[in-house]
Formats: sequence, structure tokens, C-alpha cells
Amino acid sequence: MSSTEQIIFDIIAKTCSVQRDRITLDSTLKDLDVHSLDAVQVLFEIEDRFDISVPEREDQYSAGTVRDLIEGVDRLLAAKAAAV
Amino acid sequence: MRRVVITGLGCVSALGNSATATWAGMREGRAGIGPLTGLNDPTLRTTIAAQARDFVSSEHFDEKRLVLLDPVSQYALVAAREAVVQAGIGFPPDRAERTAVIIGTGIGGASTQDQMARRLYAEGNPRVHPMAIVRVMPNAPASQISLEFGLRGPVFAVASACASSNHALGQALMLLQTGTADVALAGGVEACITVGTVKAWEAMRVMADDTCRPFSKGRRGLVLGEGAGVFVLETLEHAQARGAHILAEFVGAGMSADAADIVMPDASGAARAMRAALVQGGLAPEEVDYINAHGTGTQANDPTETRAIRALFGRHADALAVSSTKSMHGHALGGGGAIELVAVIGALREGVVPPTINYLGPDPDCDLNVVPNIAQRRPVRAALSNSFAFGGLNAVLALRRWD
Repeated sequence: MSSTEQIIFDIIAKTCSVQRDRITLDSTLKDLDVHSLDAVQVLFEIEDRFDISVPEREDQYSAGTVRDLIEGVDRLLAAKAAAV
Repeated sequence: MRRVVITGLGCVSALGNSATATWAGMREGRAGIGPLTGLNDPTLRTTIAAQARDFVSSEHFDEKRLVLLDPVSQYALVAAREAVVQAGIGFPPDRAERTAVIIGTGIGGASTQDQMARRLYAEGNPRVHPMAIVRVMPNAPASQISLEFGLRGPVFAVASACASSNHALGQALMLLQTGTADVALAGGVEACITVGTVKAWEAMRVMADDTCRPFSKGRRGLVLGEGAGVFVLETLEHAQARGAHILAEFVGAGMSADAADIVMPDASGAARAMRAALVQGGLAPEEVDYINAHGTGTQANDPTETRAIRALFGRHADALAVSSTKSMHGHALGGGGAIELVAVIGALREGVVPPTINYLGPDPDCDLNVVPNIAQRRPVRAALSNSFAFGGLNAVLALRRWD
């Protein structure tokens, strides 16, 4: 498990009170019964933890699978590293 | 129970610094939403807002007075002055003691709070202005109106987020109905376009980046606004005794709480508030020709409000007009309901229903006559004005045309 993956699993589990072993790369936040406002909090925790800005209204981050979310965050992190 | 009428209205909004200008803008379907100005923070994502752009403080207040006044109080005072002038009412001692002031605000002195925090925490300046407290307190707008006009009856603020105006107007209605006061200056105000407030709304990811398109396909969220609405309310007896020109009858205020979720709206809570307003106002659903919707333009509100209206009005839902003037003056939070009451009174008096502008086409989940883009001429015998707040708090006003 990559560190991004690890951290994002932790954030979802903590922010949404979801058992960590229920979360898989293929689950969507919806599958995990995550309320839309909890999803917004997940994105906030991710932004705060990684110091990135997650774009608005891109389904990859809030409506896709956990895998999509992690890939998106990795891309944002790569863009941030490249910009430095 | 005594009957209550409205005899004066005043407003400050993105459509203008008076109720007259605001109503003219609403009739024309004018856009009050424009580029966000005045906030100097490169990290803001938001680029648009419905600001009271033409409001110049020094045109209304001298320097000494301004020290005491956050914009939230300035807007409320300017609106109150217009309402008092229109009502042609003075306040000799006997009347002043029987006059209430109830002003809703969701936040209070947001700019003062923001500036104070910046000085303390960002600039490391330990000195806070000695008038910071009296500028920030949410009752400042009500107190300042009381001071300016010498009003000595019940005076207080009401806070229920985006329903603050309607809850305040509902409180005033009850004070007059029960004989606790004869006259009330009531309404609501917000001056929330500060870096802190805008960022807090951004964080919820409910803000539109293009414009506000309530009930429309392609809507992308709400746009923050600001401003005030203040109204002169009187018992019918009091208004007639002084020969006042009556603008509308204020017949009911329905209130309810969802007790479901802190932010997600609930159709049954909204419908219960609308029903309570009709019952209190002695109105049959078929008498309602216009509803000024809460209509924020978010994914969550608009379909829920549509379901609530359909559930309550049944087949009549297809006959009445429902518009969201937030498409023009933005979402002024605690001031919203009061600005929207200007639309309701205009519709009752002139038989013109203001439009929902920026409308791109129907959303099947919002299938009402939402008066797309252009005002509709139609007789309005009675109207409702909806406000639904975070915290699950609903307040709906019912008004009747005065013939």
C-alpha cells in the first residue's frame, strides 16, 4: 500500500466513521454510505494533509472510486513537486 | 388577533440602495451578480458575488457615527430610513414606546470580526478597537435602528442563518397580533462578503463559479449576496387611524424545524412551514398565486423545495408561479428573506411576478413554473415567501394583496 493510499484510507475511516476494513480501492464513497457533506470533509482533510487544492466538481475526487481519488491526489502531488 | 399590514419598505441590495431600485431591478430581471471586488486575498477561488456595489458609507453617515457601524448596521439603517419615509410615520413618545424593532442577521458584524482577527493574529497587533464589540454584536442593527428613531418597545435580534429575516418578521407579526406593540420595524440584514466568510462557504463546495441559476438545468450552486430589507409593520387599526397608505396585509408566518440534518434540506419540514403559514393566514392553497422560493441554486435545495411545493399544493402547483430572485440579488443569508419580501410586495401590488434569471432550461426535478428569465404579468391575490436555513430551520411568510 502506497503512503498516499494509506493516508487516504485513514482519512476516510476517521472522517466518515467507516470501518477501515470495509474500504477497498474499488469502493465509491457512495458505496460506503458517505453523505455528500462528509465527502466534502474528506476532500478538506486531504487538502490539509497534503497541502494541495482539490479541484471543484470533478467526479474523480468525490464521485469515483477510492482508486480514482488516490490517483487524482498522486497527480496533484506530482504537479506540486514539478512546480517547486 | 389583530390584523397586521405593511406600510413602508426599505432595502439595500446588489440591485440598488433602495427598495424602489431593487424592485425595478427585479421587474427587469437585472443581474446584481458580478465580479467580486474589495477583498484582497489571492487564495480566494470565488470570483463573483452580489455586492451592494454602489453603497458609499459616507453618503449616509458622518465619520463619528461610522466608527460605531459595521456595514451590517449601515445597510439596516439605510433600509430603515427608506421604510420610515415611505410609511410617513413619526415616533412621538407614546408611539415610540409601542414600537418594536426586530432585525434578523445570520452573522452580525462580519467585517469587524474579520479585521479584528487579521490585526490580532496576522499582523500581531495586540490592540483591538474599543468599539469592536458594539460593531460586531448581532443585535447592533436592531439597536442602531432603535437609537436613530428613538424606538423604545421590544428590540432584539433573531439569528437563524438564512431564515433570520423571516423569523424576525414572524416575531414582529406576533407582537402586533397579540397587542404587545402597535408598530414594528422588522426585517433582516447581512454584510457577509469578507475573506473569512467567503472562504468558509468555498470550503463547503456549494458555490457557483459562473452565476446563480435556481431551478435551471446546469445550475452550479449559490452566489453570496449582501444587503438589508426593513419594513414598517402596523396593526390595521393603527395604520387606518393615521390614514397610512397600506401596501399589503401580512397574514401569517409558518415555522418548522426538520430535526433531520444540519445542512441537507428536508421536503417535509419545508412543506410543514408553508402549510403553517397558510393556516395562520386563513389562506386556501388555491389563493396563492406566487411563491418567492428559497431557490438557492444548489443541487440540494431546488429539487427538495420543488417536492415540498408539489406535496403541499398538489395540482395547484402547476398553476402558481414560483421564482427565485436570488438569481438577481444573490444569497444574502440572514438578509435574504427581507430582500425577497420586496419582491413579494411588488408582485402583490403590481401584478408582476419577478423572474428567475440565468435560466438555461428545465431540470425535470424542478418542474414548476419558475418564471424563466422574464417577469410574468398575472394577478397575485396572495403569496408566500420561503426561507430554509442550515440547521434545518424553516420560516415562511404569507401575505395578501390589499385592495
